[in-house]
Amino acid sequence: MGRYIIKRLLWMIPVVLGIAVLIFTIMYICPGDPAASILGIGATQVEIAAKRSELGLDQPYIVQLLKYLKQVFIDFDLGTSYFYGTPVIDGIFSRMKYTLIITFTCMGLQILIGTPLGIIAATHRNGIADRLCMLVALIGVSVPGFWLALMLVVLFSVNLGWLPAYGVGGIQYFIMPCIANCLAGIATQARQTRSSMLEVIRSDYITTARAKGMSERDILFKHALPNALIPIITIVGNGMGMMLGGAVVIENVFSIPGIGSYMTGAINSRDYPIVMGGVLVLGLLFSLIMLLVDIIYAFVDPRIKARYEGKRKGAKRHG
Amino acid sequence: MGNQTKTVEERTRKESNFRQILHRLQKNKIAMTGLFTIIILIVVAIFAPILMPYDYTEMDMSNMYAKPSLSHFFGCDDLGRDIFSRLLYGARASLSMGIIATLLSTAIGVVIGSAVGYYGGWIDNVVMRVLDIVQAIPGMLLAIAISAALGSGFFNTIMALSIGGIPMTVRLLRGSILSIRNQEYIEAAEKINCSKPRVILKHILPNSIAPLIVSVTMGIGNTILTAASLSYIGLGIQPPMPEWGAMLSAGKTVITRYPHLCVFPGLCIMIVVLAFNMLGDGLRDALDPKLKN
Repeated sequence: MGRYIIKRLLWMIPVVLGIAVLIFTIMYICPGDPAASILGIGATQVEIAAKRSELGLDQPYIVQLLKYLKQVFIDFDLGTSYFYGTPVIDGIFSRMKYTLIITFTCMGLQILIGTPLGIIAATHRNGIADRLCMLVALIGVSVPGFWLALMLVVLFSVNLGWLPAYGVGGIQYFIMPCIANCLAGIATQARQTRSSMLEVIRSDYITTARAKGMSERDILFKHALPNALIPIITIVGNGMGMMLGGAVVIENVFSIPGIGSYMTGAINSRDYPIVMGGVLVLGLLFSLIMLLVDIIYAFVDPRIKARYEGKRKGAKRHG
Repeated sequence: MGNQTKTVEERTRKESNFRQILHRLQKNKIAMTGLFTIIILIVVAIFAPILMPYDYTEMDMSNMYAKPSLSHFFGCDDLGRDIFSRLLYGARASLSMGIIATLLSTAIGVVIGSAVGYYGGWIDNVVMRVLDIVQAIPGMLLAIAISAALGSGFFNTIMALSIGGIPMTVRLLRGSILSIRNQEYIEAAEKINCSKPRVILKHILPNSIAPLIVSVTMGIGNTILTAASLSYIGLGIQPPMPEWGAMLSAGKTVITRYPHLCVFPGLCIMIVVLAFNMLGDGLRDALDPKLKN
C-alpha cells in the first residue's frame, strides 16, 4: 500500500511538469506577439524588437521552455498581466477563494444528492422512481449550466426578487451559481451510480446472498454498495474537473470575482498570461484531487493492493 | 485468404446480429425520439436558408427587442434581427462543429489507440503517459487554453474541441483491443500471415466498434455543449455569425428586461444535446443487451 502511494506521488512530478510544458507550448504557438501586446498600439518596430529580446522571446523554444519551467516551479511566477501590469499569481491567489467555494460545494452536492438518486434508481429498476430519476438525470446532463444560471436569474432575481443576481457576499450569493453548476454533476453521478449498481446487482454473489435468505437491506449495504462504490469514486474525481470547468463559465454569469472571471475577462483583452496561468493552476489543482482520489481508491479497494503486488510478481516472471 | 474462406453461415449470423441490435434500438422509444429529433435538426440546418422567414443579418430598428409574435415567432434581438431565423441558421454552426470535432478526435484516437493497443511495448507506455498529462487538465479548460491561443473561428474552434477528446477514444479502443487481442481468432489470423494492419483493420476494429459508436454519439452532444460555452465566454464562433452560445452571451446584458433573447437559444442547445444523449443511451442498451435484463 505504502509503495502504491509513493509510486503515485512520484508520478505527480512528471504530470505537473507535463502540464506546464503543454501550457507553455500552447502559448508558444499562439499567433500574437506578447511584446507588441505589452507595448500597445503605436509602438515602433525597434521598440518591439527591444522588448522581445528583453523578454527573451528571440531565444529558441527549448531555452524559453526551460526558463518558463524555472520561473513557474522555482520562482513561483506565472508572468505579468499585459493589461493590469501585476503578477498573474497574485491575481489568481486573491481570487481563488470564490472558485474553490463553488467547486467544492458542487462536488459535495454531487456526492450527497447524485449517489442516493442512482442507488434508488438501481434498486427500483424499471419502476416509477427509476424512470423519473433517469429522465431528470438525462435532462440534467443536457442542460447548459450557464443557460440554467441565466434562467435562474430571471426567475429568482428579476421576477421573485429572492436572490441577488450578481456579485459576492453572504451565502445567498452562492445559491444560484452552485445550483446551476452542480446539476450536470448530480445527473452524471446518478447515471453512473445506477449503472455501476446494476452491474454489481447482476453478480453471482448477490444471487448467493439472496439465496441464503439475507434481507434486501443487508444485501444492499453489505454486498452491493461497497462493490459499486469503487467506480463511483472515480466519477467523483472526474466530476471535479467538470465542476472546475463549469465554475469558470458560471462565475462569468454571476460576475463572481473568481479565477474564472479573471480568465474570461483576460480573453477579451488578449491577456494570455492570465488565461494560461489560470489553466495551469486549475490543472494542478485537478491533478492533486485526482491523486487524492487514487489514494482513497487504494484504501477502499483491497483488489488494488493485491493487483499491485501481483503485478510486481508478474513483471518479474515475464522479465 | 482468411476472409475468402468466410462461410455463408458466418455472414448470416453477423447480419442477424446487426438486425437484432437495430430491432432493439427501434423498440426503444426514447432512442427513436432522439434519432428523429437529430434527423429533423440536420434537415433544418441544411435547408436553413430556405426555411428562415427573414435573413439572419436583416436589421429592423422598429422591431428592436420585439416580443415573440406571429410575424416574429421568437421575437427580435437588440438589432431587430429575427431570433427564429438566427436560431435556424445557428443550427449549422453548432451541429457541424459538434459532428466534425467529434469525428476528428475519434479518427485520431482510433489510429493512436489501435496502434498502441496492438503493438504495446514502450510506445504504448510513452503515449499513455502523454495522454495522462493531457487528461490532467479538465476538458473545458484545455479547450479554453487552445481556443485562446489559436484565436476564434470555425476551424480553430474545431481544433480546440477535438484535442481534448482524443485521450478518451484512445483509452476506449486500447482497452477493448487489449481484451480481445489474445483471443483465438486473432491468433488464427496472425498464424495465417495476415499483415498487422490487416489484423487491426479487418479483425480488431470491427470487434471494438460498439463502444465507439456510443462514445461518438454522446461525444457530439458534449462537444456541442462545450462549443456553446466557449462562444458564451467570447471564444469560438463570434458574431455576426449566428451561434447559439454567442446569442446567449449577447442577450445576457439585457436579460432583466428582455429574457426572450436568452430563453430560446438555450432551449435549442438543450434539445440538441438531449437528442444525442437519448440516442446514445439507446445505442448503449441495444449494443449491450446484458444491461437491459
